[in-house]
Amino acid sequence: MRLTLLAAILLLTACANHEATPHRSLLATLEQSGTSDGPPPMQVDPRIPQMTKYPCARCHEKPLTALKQTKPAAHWEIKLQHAPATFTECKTCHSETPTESLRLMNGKEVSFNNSYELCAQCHSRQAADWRGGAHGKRTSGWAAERKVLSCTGCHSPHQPRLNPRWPAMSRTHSEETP
Amino acid sequence: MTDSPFQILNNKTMDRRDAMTTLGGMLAAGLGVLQTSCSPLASAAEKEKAQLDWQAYFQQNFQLMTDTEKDATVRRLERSYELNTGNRIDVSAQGPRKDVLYGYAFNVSKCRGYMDCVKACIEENNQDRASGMAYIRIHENKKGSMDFEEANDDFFHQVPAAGHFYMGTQCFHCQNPPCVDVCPVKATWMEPDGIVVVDYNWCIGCRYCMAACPYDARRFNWADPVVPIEEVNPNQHYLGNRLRKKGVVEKCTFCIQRSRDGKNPACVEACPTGARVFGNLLDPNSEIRWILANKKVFRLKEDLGTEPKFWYYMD
Repeated sequence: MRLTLLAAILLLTACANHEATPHRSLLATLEQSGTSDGPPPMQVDPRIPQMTKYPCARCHEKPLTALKQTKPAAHWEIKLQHAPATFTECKTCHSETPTESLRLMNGKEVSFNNSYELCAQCHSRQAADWRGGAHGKRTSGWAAERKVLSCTGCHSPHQPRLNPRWPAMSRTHSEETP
Repeated sequence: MTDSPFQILNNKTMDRRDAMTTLGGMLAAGLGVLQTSCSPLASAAEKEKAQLDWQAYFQQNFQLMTDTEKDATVRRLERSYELNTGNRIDVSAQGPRKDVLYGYAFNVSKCRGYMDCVKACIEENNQDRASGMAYIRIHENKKGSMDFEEANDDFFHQVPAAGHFYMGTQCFHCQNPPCVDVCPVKATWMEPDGIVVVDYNWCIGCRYCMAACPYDARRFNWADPVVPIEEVNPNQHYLGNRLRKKGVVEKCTFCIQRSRDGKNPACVEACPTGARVFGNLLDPNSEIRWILANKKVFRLKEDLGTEPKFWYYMD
């Protein structure tokens, strides 16, 4: 009788112990660590050090109409394939009188280093994702200060669509790209 | 001053495993002496090799090792590799960081099937080149379907192919990992920072974990793995990319040798599209937390209750 009682008590204790550690969902653990107060802070890779034809004033010392008469033509390699041609032209983003910066739709000037502000005028959804970390390329490790590439780090501003390419390898073919 | 092996054996507090190790060490040394006395060719290096192999044979489960034992174990691995190849490697036993739980997000809209992640993973993690082992699979799905039976994970043509989208799978480091539950020898477990790891020295190769994993995330070494000596990544971790042997299971460790060092896993670093995001789930100001809070995310087979720490999202 005593033994049965003891066994029953032990069983109950075991059950109680099991109840004491219920399965806690992962999301509950995350919620407990606090909530965010906005997108994670970041540093944007500067564009100007990578520009080969900068500052603009090196060539643009005369008005554009006068420059257009000179040979050889500059920027001849640029082929604009960005949004319908009915919408975009050089001066959609560039000042007609170059001042070493880009021009927003409201006429405000913005540095080439901050070109993302210009892109965000149309691509606001991508810009929000980029600020948050859901779009774009982080160049620093997870624990270091957040450093990201700017829009132009991946997309050519004049032809932003990425071209198809060969994969680095396949699962069973390790040969180099043909 | 260190005790002689005989003094150690007379010490009554010693456990069976240590006693065997010490006895074994004496035996190996004895055999070494015998061999040297009989054969003029046996070198000191060969004797040391034999002794290191013997110690490895009686090695404790990594989870039960003290910090000193962990350190001795990785030094032994380094020395053993040096004796065998003449090259030096750096094996770390670095532990988890406090208040860190690693998580991963994968942008299905952005992946273009470039396979740069797979290549980087193989090179970083010293994976077997002979069998073409890869922790990551990139599945080429026809638009309109996400059926992994129908998807092609062995494509080799220009990507992205018209009418297709790409999705990567690898170990999801479940918070409730079924692979860990089934291991009969506790050779696999979840670390406090959420990384599911394997002690390759303790694994008996039963492959229960492979059967239990609902995501096909684990790989088995059917033969001795082959990594060309000039391609061996010398920056290794005991629980990560150190060289494996025949008959053990391995898998993605979120590049533990990199992540615990504050770097991103090799796949994240290699991905040119930014489709791969890695970070600390316990940091509310991390990118991964922003994605969980602001994007529509999903996990594979969430209904199983495995709680993968790997989310998919779309633009």
